[in-house]
Amino acid sequence: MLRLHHASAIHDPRTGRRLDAPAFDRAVEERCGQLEKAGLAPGHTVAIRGRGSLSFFVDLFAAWRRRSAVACLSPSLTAMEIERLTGFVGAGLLLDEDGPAPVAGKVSAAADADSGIDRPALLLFTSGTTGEPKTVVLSYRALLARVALNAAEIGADALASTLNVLPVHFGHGLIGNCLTPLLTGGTLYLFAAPELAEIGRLGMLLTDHRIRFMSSVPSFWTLATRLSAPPERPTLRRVHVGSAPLSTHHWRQIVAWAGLDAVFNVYGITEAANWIGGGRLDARGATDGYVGRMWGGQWAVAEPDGTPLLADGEGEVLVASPALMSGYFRRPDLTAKSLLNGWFRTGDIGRLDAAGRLTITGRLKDEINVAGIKVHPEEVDLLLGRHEAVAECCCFAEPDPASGERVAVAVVPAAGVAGQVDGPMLSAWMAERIRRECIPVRWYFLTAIPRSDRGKVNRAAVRDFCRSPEARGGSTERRTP
Amino acid sequence: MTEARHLLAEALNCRVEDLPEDAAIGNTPGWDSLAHARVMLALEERLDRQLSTDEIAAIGGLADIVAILAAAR
Repeated sequence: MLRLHHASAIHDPRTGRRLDAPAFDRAVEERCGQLEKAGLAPGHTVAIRGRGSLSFFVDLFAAWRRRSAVACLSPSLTAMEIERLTGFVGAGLLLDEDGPAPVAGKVSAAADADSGIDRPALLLFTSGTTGEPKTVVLSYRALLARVALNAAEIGADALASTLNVLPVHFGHGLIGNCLTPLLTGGTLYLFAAPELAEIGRLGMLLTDHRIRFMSSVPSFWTLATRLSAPPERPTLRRVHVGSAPLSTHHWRQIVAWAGLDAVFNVYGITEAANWIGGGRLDARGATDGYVGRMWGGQWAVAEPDGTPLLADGEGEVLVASPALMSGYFRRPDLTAKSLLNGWFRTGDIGRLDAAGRLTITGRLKDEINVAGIKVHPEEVDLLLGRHEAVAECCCFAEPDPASGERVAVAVVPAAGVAGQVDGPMLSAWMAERIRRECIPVRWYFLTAIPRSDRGKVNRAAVRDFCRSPEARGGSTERRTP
Repeated sequence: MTEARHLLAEALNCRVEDLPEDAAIGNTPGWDSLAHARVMLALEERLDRQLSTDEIAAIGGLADIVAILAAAR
């Protein structure tokens, strides 16, 4: 069972509410009683949807105290997605931080009251709200290992006063930014999903609460460094930036704003409970994609034959870590594919120098990274392909100055409706069925999807065609590849 | 006005004709921090200069975008 460290506290600067460890423990105990009355039994799975308020954390620790696994849901999920995901993991209860009472799920998991450290603690969805869900299962052992390694790397001094501006339905925000201080004696300040005006007051907030540590994504800093004055006093001891590529130009801007060299570009993957390493801009050889050394465990790059190279090489990044997932929930096929002789295959391409320091140089997977939130194009294709006006479609990533990448899609309208269908119309239809970050922001209407000589669709080739001079600017025009 | 409407519609991923005259942060779905960053960067590209902190903070609605573009002419 996971408990708040006795010296930890949670503080909500928006409401002024603060719970130290004993008060938090009492709130958790009270919530435990409510969950028990609502039918939550040891071994059940509970789904929690929230933005990271105090009540989210009370629910999370209460569910763990009831020996339940917790499936974290994005607040932006549609009702259809929630039903699908909670059904897939067999969540017996759905807790919503904005809702008054637990909602019983349709399917209850078979009770497994195992109290061992290897039972599931967290279920994090990485894709699959329209197709087969891909759900990372993290055990208590993995969580504890990750938090211990994070604390050893970051240090108690920095963690003593930690700010969270990130969503908590994925590892970066929940495990790295929140659970690390909460389980190791730090105070966590809750400031998830800040509005524009709040971002404009970031410097003041850091000063007022003497924040020493925070993490975020590059797009957050695009606004923060421009909207907010820096902190009046040098309070920050360490900053992490992750979940999306960070250019050295942007990195320098953050270093200058924070008045701090200890701004780390961090590399994390959900399958290893998030952060696994990071590097500083002032390190020798630091460049775009530089993520330094690993924080516990080992990384390598795969030679073409799959042999792991521990230094001096480039290839798919492999990770061996005590915080690795137990596997993908009910997807032994995916789990087997992702593991290579004990190494986890990340799908990212990296270059290791002679000292074992890593620079991420590309990726093998088709994933689209929208401001740190990962979108799987297959998921978009699957949903959009169900619309009666769509004969065929192909989703892909396009560069975006604000979010790093954006979701774009090539669409071939169904016979007879060409000219009657457009992006906003399809966006509105999608908005009822899929979370917002998956909805394309750029639409290309074609007469056919470009294919290779063998008839295969290559997303990069489709993107290149759509962005070619003959197709550019023709988001509502019909084009033949 | 037309240029401002197009810029905002692109940032919000909506039809130009669906944007009301009084479109503003508080009353327009999708105008979140990411969309705001898109507006800011698109304006800077059109103006070929960086906006000041005060200018960025003053962008609260379509009318403000219109004013920034008009002042640059």
